[in-house]
Amino acid sequence: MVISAAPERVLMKGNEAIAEAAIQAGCDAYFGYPITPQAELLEWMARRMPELGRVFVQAESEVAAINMALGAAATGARVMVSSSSPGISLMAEGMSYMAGSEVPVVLVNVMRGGPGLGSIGPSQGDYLQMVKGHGHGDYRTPVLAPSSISEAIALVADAFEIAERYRTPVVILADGTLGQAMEPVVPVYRMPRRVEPDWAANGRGGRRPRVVKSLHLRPEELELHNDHLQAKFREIAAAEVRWTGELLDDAEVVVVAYGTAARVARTAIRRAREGGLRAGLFRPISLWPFPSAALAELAPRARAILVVELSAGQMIEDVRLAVEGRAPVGFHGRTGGMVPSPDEVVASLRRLWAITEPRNGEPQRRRHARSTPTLPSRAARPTPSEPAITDEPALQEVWR
Amino acid sequence: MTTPLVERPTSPADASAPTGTAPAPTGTAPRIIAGRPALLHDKSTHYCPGCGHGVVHRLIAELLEDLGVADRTIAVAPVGCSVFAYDYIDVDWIEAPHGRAPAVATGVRRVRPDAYVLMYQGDGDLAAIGTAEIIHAAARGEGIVCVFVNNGIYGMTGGQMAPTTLLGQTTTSSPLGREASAAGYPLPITEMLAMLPGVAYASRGTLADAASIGRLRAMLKRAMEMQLKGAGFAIVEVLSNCPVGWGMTAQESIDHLAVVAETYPVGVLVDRPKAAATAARAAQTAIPDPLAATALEA
Amino acid sequence: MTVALDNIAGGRTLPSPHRRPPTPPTWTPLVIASDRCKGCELCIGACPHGVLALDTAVVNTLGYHPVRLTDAAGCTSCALCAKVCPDAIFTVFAPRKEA
Repeated sequence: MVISAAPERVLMKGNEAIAEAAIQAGCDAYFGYPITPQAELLEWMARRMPELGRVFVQAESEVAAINMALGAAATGARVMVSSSSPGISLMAEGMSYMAGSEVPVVLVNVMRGGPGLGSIGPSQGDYLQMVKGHGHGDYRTPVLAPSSISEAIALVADAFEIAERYRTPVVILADGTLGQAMEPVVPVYRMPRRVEPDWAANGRGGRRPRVVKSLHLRPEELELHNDHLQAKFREIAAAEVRWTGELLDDAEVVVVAYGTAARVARTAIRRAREGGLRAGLFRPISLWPFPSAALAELAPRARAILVVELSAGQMIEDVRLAVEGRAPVGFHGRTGGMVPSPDEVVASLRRLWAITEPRNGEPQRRRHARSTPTLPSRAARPTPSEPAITDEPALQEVWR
Repeated sequence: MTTPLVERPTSPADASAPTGTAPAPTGTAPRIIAGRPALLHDKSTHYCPGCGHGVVHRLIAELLEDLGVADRTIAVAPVGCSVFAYDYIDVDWIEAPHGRAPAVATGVRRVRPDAYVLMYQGDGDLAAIGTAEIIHAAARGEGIVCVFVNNGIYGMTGGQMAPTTLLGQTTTSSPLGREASAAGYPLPITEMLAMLPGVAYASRGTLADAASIGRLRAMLKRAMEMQLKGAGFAIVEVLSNCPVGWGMTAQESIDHLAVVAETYPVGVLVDRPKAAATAARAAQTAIPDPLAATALEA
Repeated sequence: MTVALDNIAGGRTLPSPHRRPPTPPTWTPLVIASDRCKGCELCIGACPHGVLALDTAVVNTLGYHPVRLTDAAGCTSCALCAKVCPDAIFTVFAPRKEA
C-alpha cells in the first residue's frame, strides 16, 4: 500500500484493499490458501491479523480453509475466506453446508481463466457457478460484483452485513484485473454493527445446547427447512438488488456488463457516442439477486442489448431471462484471460445496431430465433504472436 | 402365556423385577456405583444393538462432566454412523462435512480460545476422505482432542471397505476379501500422527472387555486433559465393532476385536505434553526425525 | 428402521428412570431401564455371576427382549454390565451392608 502525497488518497492494490476493508469491517478470522491472482489478499491478512490479535490461518488446502471458516463462523465469529476459480471449486461443498446450516461467511472469488487449471489472467467464467448456487442443493448465495477498488471496499462491508442479517454466505466476485490492479483510492471503510448471534454454537454454557447442522433426515422436516430457506431468499431478492446505469436515458443500444467488463464498457459507450451511436451501460452490482426487474423495464425502450463478459457467455442467460424477448440480445465475450478492448466493444455495438431494427415506439415481441453473424471462425483468430488486426467485429451471437 | 407387544410403563422397582426381596436399607439411600451420565441425552440411540459408539459416547459424557468442561464445550460431529452424536451428548455441536472435522475444529479452536474443543470421527471420516485435515490439524498442534472410533468399515452407508479394513476382510465393496495388491494395506493413521511434533498424546484403546474399557477411559481422560494443560493435539483411537457390517452377533464382534488388535496394537503411542507444547510454539523449520520425536520426554 | 427414524427425528423420547437417582423401595443392586435395552447381550457375556438373561416373555417398545436380573442375591454390584452396555441402561448400587 503506497501512501501518496495527499494522505487521504492512497494507491491500493485490489487484493490488499479487499483485505483491509474486511479488517476494518471487524473480520475476526481469515482462512485461505495461496493461489494466483489473489495471493496478496492472503499475505495482507497474514501480516495484519496477528498485529491486531485476530486469527489468520493458511490452511493446507481450500477444502480445509472453507471448513475452518465454517467452524469459526458457526461459533458466531465474523469470517472471510478467499480464493480463485480452481480453489473456489474445492470450496463448493463447504458453501453448501454453510447455506444449509445458515452460517454467515464472506467468500471472495478473484476469478481467473478456466476451465481446469486455465490461466492466471482475469476472467468472469465462474458466474454460473457462483450465482447459481456454487454447491449442491437448493440454495442461492448473494453475489456482489465490484467494478472498482473503491467499490470493492464498500461492498466488503455490505457483504458482512448481508451475511449476518440473513445468516447466509455472501460472495464478492472479482477478477484478476481488479485483484492485481493498483488504483488511487480514498478508502471509506465501514464496520457493520455486531449483534451477538442467538443461534451460534459458542460454548457459552448455562443454556440449552445448540447444534449447527444441515442434516434433516426426514423428508418432511427437510422440506420445511427448504421452505424456510426459500422464504429467506425471497426476502433477500426483494431487499438487496444493486445496480447502476450510465447514459441510459436516451440509449438505443445498452451494454450489460459487470466487474472489469463494465470498466471496458464505460469507455466503449463513450467512444460509441462520439461516433454518433447512442449507447448506455446497465451495470449489475448484485449478480444474485439479479436486477431483473430494472432490466426488464428498460428492455422495451432499447433497440438492442449487448452483453459483454470475460467468458463464453454466462450472465447473458440471466439477461435473456429478464429481457424475455422484448429486445434482441447480442453477446461479446473473450475467454482465457483475454480482456476485450473498448474498440472491440464499439465495433460489436455498431454491428448490433446495423442488424437490428429501430424501435417504432412499441415493445418488440418476436419469436425466439438465434442468428450468427458472419465472423472469422475461432480457428482463424490470430494466434497470440500475431497482432489482432481485423475489421470483423467480435460480435458472436444474437438472440432475438 | 402370550408375549405382550408393548411393555407396561416401567418404574425403577418394576424394571428389574427381582425375584426375592430384602428389607430396605435403613437411613440413607444406597450409593450409586455406576449410572447413566447426566450429559447423555434422554433418548435411545439409533446405533445398532451392541455398537461400540454407545460405549464411547457414555465415556465422553462421563469425562466431560468429571473434568468440568461441559459448559464450555464445542464439539464437532462427523459424517458416518455417529453423525447424530449431537443428539446424544448435551453440549454445543457443529456438524462437519465428511472428513473435515479437524478443519472445522481448527476454526473453532482459533476463534474461541476459552472453549473446550472435542471432535468425534470414524475411520472413513478420519482415515480416508479426511486424511489431509487430520494430519495438518495434528501438525499444527491444535489444542483439540480427537476421539477416533475405528471399526474398520463404512457402517452408515452399508458396510463398505475402509482404509482400516483388515486384509482378507469381506465387506460390501471387497466381497472376496481385501487384497493388498488391489486395495493396499490397512492404514496405521495413529502411528503416522504420533510422529508429528505437535501431537501431545496418541493412543489406541479397545472395547474388547470391561477391563479394556476401563483402560480406554483412562486414555480418554489423559487425552482430554492435554487440552487443559495447553499441551497440543491429542488423539485416542478406539478399536470398536460393527456387528451388522461384520456379519456377527454383538458378542462375536466384541470377541473379534482381539483379531483387529493384531493389526492395530493397543497401547499408548506418545504421551509428551511438555515437548508437544514446546514444539507447537516453536517455529518448525527442520523436518522432524520420527525416532527422535517419539523419544522426547513427556 | 421405522423406530430408528422416529428416534432420529427426535419425535419421541423415551422415559428415563435416571433423571433423579432412583431409590427403589425394595432392595436391588441393579436397576435396568428395560425400555432402552436393545437385547445385544453384551452384559450377559460380561457378567461374572450369570445373573443376567434376556426376558423372552417381554418385547419392549424398541422391539427387543430386554435383559433382566434373574437373581438379585447373586449380584455383587461389580458393575461390569454397566461398563460394557452401549445404551447406558444400568444403574448399579453399592452392595447392601449386613444389618
